[in-house]
Amino acid sequence: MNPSAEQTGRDRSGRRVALSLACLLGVALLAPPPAARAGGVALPSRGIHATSMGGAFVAGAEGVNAFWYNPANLDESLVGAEAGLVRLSGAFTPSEGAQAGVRAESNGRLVPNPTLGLVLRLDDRFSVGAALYAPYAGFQRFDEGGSQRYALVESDETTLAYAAIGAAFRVGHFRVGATLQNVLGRVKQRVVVSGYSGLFGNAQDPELDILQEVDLRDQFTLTGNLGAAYDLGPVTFGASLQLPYKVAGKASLRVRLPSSVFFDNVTVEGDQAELSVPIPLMLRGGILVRATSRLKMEAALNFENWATQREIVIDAGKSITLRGVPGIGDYQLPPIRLDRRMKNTYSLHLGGDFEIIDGLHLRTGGYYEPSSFGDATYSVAQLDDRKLGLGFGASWDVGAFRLDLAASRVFGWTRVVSTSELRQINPTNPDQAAVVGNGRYETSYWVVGTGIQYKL
Amino acid sequence: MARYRHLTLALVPALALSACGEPLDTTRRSPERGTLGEEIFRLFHRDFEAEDPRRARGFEEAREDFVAAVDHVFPPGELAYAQDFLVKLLPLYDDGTFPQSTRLIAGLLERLSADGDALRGLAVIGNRAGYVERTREEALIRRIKDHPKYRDLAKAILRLQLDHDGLDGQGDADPNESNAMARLMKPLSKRLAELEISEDDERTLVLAANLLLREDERFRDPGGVQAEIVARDARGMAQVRALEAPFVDRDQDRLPDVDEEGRFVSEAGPLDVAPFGTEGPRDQRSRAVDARGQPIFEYIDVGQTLTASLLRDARRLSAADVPMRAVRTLETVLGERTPEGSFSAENSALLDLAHAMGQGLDVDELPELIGLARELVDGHEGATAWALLELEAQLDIAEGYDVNLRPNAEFFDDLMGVFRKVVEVPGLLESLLEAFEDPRVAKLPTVMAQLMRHKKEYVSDGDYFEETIFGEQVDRTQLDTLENQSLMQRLLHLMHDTRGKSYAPSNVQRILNLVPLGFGQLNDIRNFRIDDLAEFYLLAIIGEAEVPRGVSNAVNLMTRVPVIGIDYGLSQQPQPSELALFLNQDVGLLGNPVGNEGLAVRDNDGDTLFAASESPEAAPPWTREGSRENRLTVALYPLVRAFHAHGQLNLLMDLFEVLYQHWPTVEGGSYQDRSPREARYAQLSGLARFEPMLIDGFEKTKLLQAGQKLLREANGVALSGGRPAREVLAILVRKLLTIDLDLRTREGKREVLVDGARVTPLSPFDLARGALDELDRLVHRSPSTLEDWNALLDELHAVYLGTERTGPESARFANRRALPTAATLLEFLEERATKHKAALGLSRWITRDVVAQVEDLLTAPELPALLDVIHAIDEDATLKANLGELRDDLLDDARGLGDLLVTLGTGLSAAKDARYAVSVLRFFGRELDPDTKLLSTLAALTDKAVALDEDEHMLELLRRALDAPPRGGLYAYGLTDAIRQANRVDPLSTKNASSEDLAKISAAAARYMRDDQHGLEKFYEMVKNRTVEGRAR
Repeated sequence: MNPSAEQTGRDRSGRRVALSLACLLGVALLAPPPAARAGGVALPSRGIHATSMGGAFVAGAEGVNAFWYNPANLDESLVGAEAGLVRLSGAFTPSEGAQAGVRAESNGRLVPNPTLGLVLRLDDRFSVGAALYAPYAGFQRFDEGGSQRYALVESDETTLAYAAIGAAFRVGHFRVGATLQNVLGRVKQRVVVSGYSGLFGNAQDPELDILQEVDLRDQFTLTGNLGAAYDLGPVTFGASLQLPYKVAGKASLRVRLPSSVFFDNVTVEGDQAELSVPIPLMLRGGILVRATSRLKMEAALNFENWATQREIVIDAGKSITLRGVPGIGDYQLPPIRLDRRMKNTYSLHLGGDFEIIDGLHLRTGGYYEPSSFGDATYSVAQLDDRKLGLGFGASWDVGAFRLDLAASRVFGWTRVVSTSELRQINPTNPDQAAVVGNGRYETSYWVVGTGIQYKL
Repeated sequence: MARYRHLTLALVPALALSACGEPLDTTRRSPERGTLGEEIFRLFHRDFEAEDPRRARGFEEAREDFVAAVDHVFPPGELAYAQDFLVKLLPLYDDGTFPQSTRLIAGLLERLSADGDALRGLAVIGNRAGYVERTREEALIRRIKDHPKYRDLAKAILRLQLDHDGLDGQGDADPNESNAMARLMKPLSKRLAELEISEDDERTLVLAANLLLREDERFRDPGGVQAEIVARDARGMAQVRALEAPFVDRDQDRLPDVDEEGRFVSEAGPLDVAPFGTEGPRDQRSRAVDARGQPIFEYIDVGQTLTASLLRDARRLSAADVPMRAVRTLETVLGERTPEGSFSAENSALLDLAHAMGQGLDVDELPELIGLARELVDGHEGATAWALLELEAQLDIAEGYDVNLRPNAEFFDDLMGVFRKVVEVPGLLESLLEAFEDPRVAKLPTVMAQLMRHKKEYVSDGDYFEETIFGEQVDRTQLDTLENQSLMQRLLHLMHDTRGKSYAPSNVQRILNLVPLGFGQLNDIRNFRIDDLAEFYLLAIIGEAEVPRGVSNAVNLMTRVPVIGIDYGLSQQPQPSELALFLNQDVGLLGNPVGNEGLAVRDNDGDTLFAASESPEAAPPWTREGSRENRLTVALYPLVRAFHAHGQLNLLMDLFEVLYQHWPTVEGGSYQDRSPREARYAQLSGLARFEPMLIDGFEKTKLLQAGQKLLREANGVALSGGRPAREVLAILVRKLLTIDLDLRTREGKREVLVDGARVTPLSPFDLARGALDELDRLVHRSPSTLEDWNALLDELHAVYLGTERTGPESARFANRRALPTAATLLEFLEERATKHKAALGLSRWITRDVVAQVEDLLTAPELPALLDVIHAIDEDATLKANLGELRDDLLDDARGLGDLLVTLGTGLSAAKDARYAVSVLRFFGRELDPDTKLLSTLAALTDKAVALDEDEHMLELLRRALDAPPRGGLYAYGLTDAIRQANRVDPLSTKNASSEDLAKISAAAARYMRDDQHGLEKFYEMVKNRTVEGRAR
């Protein structure tokens, strides 16, 4: 690196840096919900570069993806933009109930998951930056009358996006970094709940189906992550910690009442409920080895503390009331408890980057991540089965620009559940809610994306 | 900078686009709705279909009625209110009232489903389809629910139950609340639960049912309602007219065979022949007929049954407040309650009276006696009613006089003493009854009235011949002073004075004894002696007084000798008038007769013989011609003859003596009661005071003539054994009056108290007197009780004994149904007595069994509770008024009487069904025990619900459920039939429900009530969870 050139650059960028920071802060704190989406459980890799490396991107994280993977590596002035497409192919074939054997297939929308970022290296030791990004997750949308409906109808408008500002500090071979994240959360989910009271019909009686939509918009949740890296010759050690947080607030809760004559005179008053979705702590660690000047490889291990999510409660308090319930009149909607009982996950990532000619990098990698759900609570609400991901990608440096491409195939297993304890949601009669999790689940992902980066 | 801004701005639309989803369309997607009934049917049908398609198809069988029922009960405008009302009921879920109620009912149903006997009974009873004319089925229920005050009535009845169940609002015992209902239900339920009844046709229930359903067209008022039910045999089965095919009688019990399900059987199997209906051959009245067009069964027109008649009477009695008067009087008569709350049998005047009646009627001829009474009532209305009419007139007259005997007077005892002696003489009573029929006796009232109305200081022979005896009336403003005594009183004194007093012409006899000659006529004079002057006069009445020829000739000779001064002689068979003339002249030579008081008879009321004797020109009393004479001698002739025929003239004189003894008053001063040895001794009871009343009665009524007519007609009644009625009556009278040294009161005593005096030894009549005396004492305890008692008797008398004149000597019962009512009751009693006599148990039946039954009735623990409940009703103005209106409706021929009669008739008939009904009754007896709290809880629930139902729509819904659909029955049946059909063993069966079906249905119903997954308990949970606070409980 030419110090004079760098100096010149710094001089040139003085005002631009300030303006850019201000702009990024404004975007981060005031922007509308970003398009980046993720389910409660995202793929273990996100970002074009990281995806092509199989998510093995902790010690060697760079560019705008360093905001997520390891902010300690925010040490190069650049601005980057990426767009990823995550295609989740999910299907469910129940093994019991009125629709046993009827396969339901997800038809989730394919919407770009963008990443925007700016990093400014203020001097040799200190860098700052800001970014917008979101974890990669698939989107699901099923038929509302499908056999999966008691678990999920659609969730493809659920978004968790991070607007982050970060800073990194280098001391010799050691770097540390941190970001302050504002999570722009929107949890929107449609699911069919059962209006079966026990008195007539049955738990899976379509005439008693209630289509429920929960929509939580949480625009301001502060959290952050910390990262560290140490260069030891050709080896770099990296680690990062994503702090836990909750997406919480008043959610709107709207329903379409059942078609049964029982509900002919029933109306719903109120549509606000408290919802809190805990997002766990995540700990990542990686070792990057630069085997040659053109080849580098990284192995990473991610830990995600999903066990913290035992259940999700949608509590309307006294604010939502069913009016005109036959024989009862007013019926206050009780808290809806979603049984999660999630488990911590450990995912292993391996990846390599080989510069086959100057400026052209080919990358590949893979990972394995177990499911965060046991059979007892597994459902299409969160098709988080075991995952074996294989990623490929390339980068081409053209002057100050770098173009990135990545594709990933995530193989899921066909999962047959026969010991499900997951019951349909039945606000008025939870004891008689039917178990809806037994059956065969099929899950796989395709991830493709591209990005561009400009070195300032 | 511009580059960055453009980059940011380019991304924002992409973000917005991606975040834009379709809003949830909350519009319900419901299909086109049918009626409420159709929708509810569909709800259940889907469930049944999912559970068991056969069950669903069975339910489909009931679809039409089910849908119609729901739509009728919940018309569109009502549904919203029903919802509002149901919401108002929520507090009853919160306080446990609703759940407790359904749990209790569920318990009942569970026990029922396990009670094979009760289920069999119910199944059999259920097989009695078509036993009532279709248009009359459930008509009573509909009539009640259509009653204008139905709602008020229902609420008032609820309040009655709740205010007298002894429980507080939480169902715990409340010592401050009346527990009359509980006390009523407790023994009733126990009685039912422990019911043991045989299957024979001698059961009380069968007998009562048969009696109350006896038909007589006279029971129906003109234009009265007609309504038919089928007659039933002792098993409760429809009674066939002829035991012929297809019916069979394999067991040779002379009844058509039935199977275990209570169905008639033929050689081919069960027979399904509804007495009323539309299937099979029918006549115009929907009755089942055979191939010849003849009805297969016997039918009862309940409009002309005893029940109908009693109910028609009940309307009038109720309007006169007779029931409450009866209740109050009964309570007074029954006295204090025992610590256990029932009435004691000890010292019960009513039981004493029953005991007395039993003892008095303990004769072998009882069936004949009852038959005689029945014949007189039924076949001789004119005479019977006339006798009653005259008796009533007599009593009315008596009531107009405020007179009494002297306190502690023993007139009645003395009189009874004479009567007893009379009945003890074999044949005398029969002879007297026969003599009583003699037309001459009919003159007695007139004659006696004449004697009592008039006075005369001295009746001379001139008065006699000139017929001026009866010219001066007794001054009723004065007492019976010496100058103001009636001729009757003086005549009685004469009888007293001359009784036992002999007479002989002693002066002449002494002279003749000096003459040593002896021949027939002279000896006649020497030996002539009248041993008893009074008796001699009575003998003269019947031509049995004899004067020896010598004496007669001598006396007659003397009349021709002026110096002797005898004006009137004596024939050898002197008439009373001769004796009157003879005794009232100075026969100084012969010696004037002197009475017991030492005075010449003619100076000591002997002149009253003129007033008693026939007129000079009249033929002797013992001749037909003479009988036309209105004189005492003529009127007494048949009686004197009867006494004389049995050598018992002394008893007649005893009777006169009793009258004499008790006739004078103390105040009159012409008699004394100090010493029997002194003249004019009498007991001074004061019968003289009654003279005006007696005169009035004798002159204005024809009681005696009516009695004669009745007796004559009675003698025309053909009794078994060919005995005349008077003989049978005499047996009864003798039984009643004869002292029986073994006779005891119920307590084993040999004495009773009458007017404070001991009476012992006893006759049945004395027992009755003792009981009646006690009864009288009790009803006189307070003016109100006395008023009740009198009004009660008056009204009962007016209804059942009221008469109206149809001719000079005839009458009829004003209530045209009184006669057949009495006749029917008497016929029933006659049959019972005859049966017991044939079984050699008549005496035990009448003296012990009947009394025991009465005792059971009066000492039953139900009775005081029932009275308390009646009082409670009476004190509840609303309930009383509403019940009164309903009563008037139900007892009106033009309105509800037909429906009421059909229901009662059916109930009575069904009650015969001992073999099966007993198990059902036992079951419900156990369930209705107040300890189960079933009734009180349900009443509390209903009461609270009604209280929450400001517009009383719940009662309106109930009322609509009881409406009749076009096909008959009740709309409510549309619901119950659907439940039955869907839950029976074979839902596709169209037969009546078997016991197995009922077990399954009741178990299913219980299960639904207890089910916390799909039944009511689940709903309760929903209700509890309807609020946050509820869920937290």
